[in-house]
Amino acid sequence: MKNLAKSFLIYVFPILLLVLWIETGLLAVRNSYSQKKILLEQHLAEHEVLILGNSLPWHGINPGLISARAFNLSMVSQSLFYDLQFIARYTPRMPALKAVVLCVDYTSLEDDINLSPEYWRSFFYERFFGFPLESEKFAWDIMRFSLIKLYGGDETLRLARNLFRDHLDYEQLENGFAPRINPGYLTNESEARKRVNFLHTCMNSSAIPRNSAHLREIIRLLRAKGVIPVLVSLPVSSGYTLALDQKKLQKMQETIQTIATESGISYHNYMFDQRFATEDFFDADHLAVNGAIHFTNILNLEVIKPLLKTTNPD
Amino acid sequence: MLFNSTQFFLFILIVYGLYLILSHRWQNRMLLAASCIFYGAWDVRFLLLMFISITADYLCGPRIYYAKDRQTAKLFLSIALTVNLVILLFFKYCNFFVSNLTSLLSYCGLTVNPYTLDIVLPIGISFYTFQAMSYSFDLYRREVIPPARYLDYALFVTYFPQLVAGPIMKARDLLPQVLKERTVTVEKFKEGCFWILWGFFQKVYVADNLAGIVEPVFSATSPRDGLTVLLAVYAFAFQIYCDFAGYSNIAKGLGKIMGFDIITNFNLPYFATNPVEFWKRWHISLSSWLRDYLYIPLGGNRQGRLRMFRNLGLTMLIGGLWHGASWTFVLWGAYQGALLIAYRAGEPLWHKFRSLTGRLSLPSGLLYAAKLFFFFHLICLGWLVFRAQSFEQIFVMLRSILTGFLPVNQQAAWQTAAAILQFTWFLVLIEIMQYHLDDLKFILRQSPLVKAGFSYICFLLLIFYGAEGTRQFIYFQF
Repeated sequence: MKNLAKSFLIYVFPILLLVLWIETGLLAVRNSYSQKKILLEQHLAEHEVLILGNSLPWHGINPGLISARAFNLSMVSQSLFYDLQFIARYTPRMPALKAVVLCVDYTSLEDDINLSPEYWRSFFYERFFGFPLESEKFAWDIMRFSLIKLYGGDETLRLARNLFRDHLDYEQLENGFAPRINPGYLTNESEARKRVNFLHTCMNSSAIPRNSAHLREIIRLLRAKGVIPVLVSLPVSSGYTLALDQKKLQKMQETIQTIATESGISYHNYMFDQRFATEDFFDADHLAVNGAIHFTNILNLEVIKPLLKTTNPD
Repeated sequence: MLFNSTQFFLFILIVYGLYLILSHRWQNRMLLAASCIFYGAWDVRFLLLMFISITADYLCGPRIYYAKDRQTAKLFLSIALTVNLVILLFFKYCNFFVSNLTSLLSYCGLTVNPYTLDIVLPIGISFYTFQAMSYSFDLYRREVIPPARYLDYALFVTYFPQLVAGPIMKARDLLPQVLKERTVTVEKFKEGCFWILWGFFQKVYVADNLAGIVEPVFSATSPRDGLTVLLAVYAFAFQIYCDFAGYSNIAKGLGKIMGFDIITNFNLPYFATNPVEFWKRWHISLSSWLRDYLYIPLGGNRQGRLRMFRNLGLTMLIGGLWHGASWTFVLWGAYQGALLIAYRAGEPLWHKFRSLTGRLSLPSGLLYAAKLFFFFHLICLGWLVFRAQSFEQIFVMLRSILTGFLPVNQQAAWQTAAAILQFTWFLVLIEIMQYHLDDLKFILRQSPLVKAGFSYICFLLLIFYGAEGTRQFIYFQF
């Protein structure tokens, strides 16, 4: 037994110590999710408008241009399931909240985490926000238990070399918005087709009832609290709209319209808006920083201002 | 449940904890229950199938061993083998035969409605049916005694470390270990840990990372340049080796820490310089199974050269088909058979060649390296056939290698080559030492400093650069 303990001390224990040190160090590293939480909770009681959705609104709506205190709570590949978790968790602690912009796009209703290569994002929601996993399929994934595996070897070693003083949240502003520069990059038709083909691999029509239920539940919770939800689809490049599967697009728009009508809320679809040119986009479906300014001004003028007027006629 | 999953980590902690505190009889019962959980985690329905095979073999066993005459023994041997073969043929080959028969009939101008069933292939079926059949054969040859307890026999078939991807243990090797009391010593525990660590390294660091190089090339819809194809084939040669040897080594290590001796399934196969040597080093449990229960009963090499060639060809064809219901596997088996036949047929020539090179006093190392290089490429050609999804893909890839070798983007090819080196350098280094010292466990005999270095490198590469996600073992589909 003594022999075994000695072997353990020599061959395994140093590795365990190293892993423990790195895992602890990585916990302190700021990432987009931990930073989002800090930024959101800093002024939680003051936010009047909340923006929810995936990377399209994250890069496409700048709350600084909205005529009320707003926060962009969207993130890359954020599904309606996590939008719902945010609403359920935070709106009871947001007394000033008046409106929530629920961004839905071509993929939102058919979004299936079981098919997504970015399923690992759910481990960040669990670790930093305490949200449940969207799919039990990944309950035993090693990335759920180890930040080393979640960040990957190269990134972990880079962070460890700098004694975990670096951070991984490069693009997020204090209002939660992540501006993207380099307009016109990857907006051509072949890139757009590639992008749409990739998105199709993560979409599943059988997910529509589940995602629709999440959307209905979000709307119900918000209305119960007296907050006005509004559904918005962001502009996308013309190459992207051409590459879309028309049947899927029609199904998505019909379902969103039905949910909007039955809930008595408005749906504003800017997907085919002619006011946006190639220069407004970073890639096929994401607005660049100038496009985001352009769009947020339109959104503020056409949707948010009139909406806020109804909540505060004075 | 995969070895490289967090579920298995918890599972083995619990199983091993219980194993250490239980008596022999209860150890066997617990291991049987654990094996059922392990297998049932994939699909609980197929446990029933496995127990049909187990029950048939168990009931036939004493009737084979204690039969008054050879005729009766043969009858019950046939019954036991038939049950296993029917299960294997139905679940693995039914649709293959029906669809090929339909194609053949339509080629002859006869139109029939193809009737194929939606059959799910039970995981590891080829492994456990072959293991079960070895029991009946060994009883018939009176090399084992039928166990008194059903549960002991069931454990022999279902023992979880080697249940779904081998090694295929023969009854004469494993059954006595099930029946007798096993001892767990510190030395066995350490050796087991070595095999487990090395197996994980082979699987998670080498094989799974190389899969990222192999898959895009073999699943590409448009033809790739020859250099990219060649690099993908090299990568696959190491991927399939480390995937399968990794599993076998983990199984061996798990067995060892419980006091079982599971055979070494891979003994540095890419150091072979001819097909006979290769098959003594690659998937040893299958090749020895085929040798003992098929090649030798067919007559082996005892009835003249022509009969030997026939037996070799037939054995390797069946070996190829064992891997899966696909013509590419049959072709791979035929290719391996052809290599063996060519080697055997040309043996007098090789001897002359050897004496000639001896007279020229060429350095033996150089000659060995040339033979190694040449034979490795023959094996790689086999891997291309094995991995391809169709004959057309084999043809397209070979054409790329022969006619369109250089890529437009040479930088990408160099990056791929660098990645292959990155994922294989440590494996190659250790294997060269294993070969040179003729000792697969030489690490265990080194100083604590060397052992610590080995352990740290394996752990660190696994932790930081082990492939992401839990990738299934390739051999589960066979």
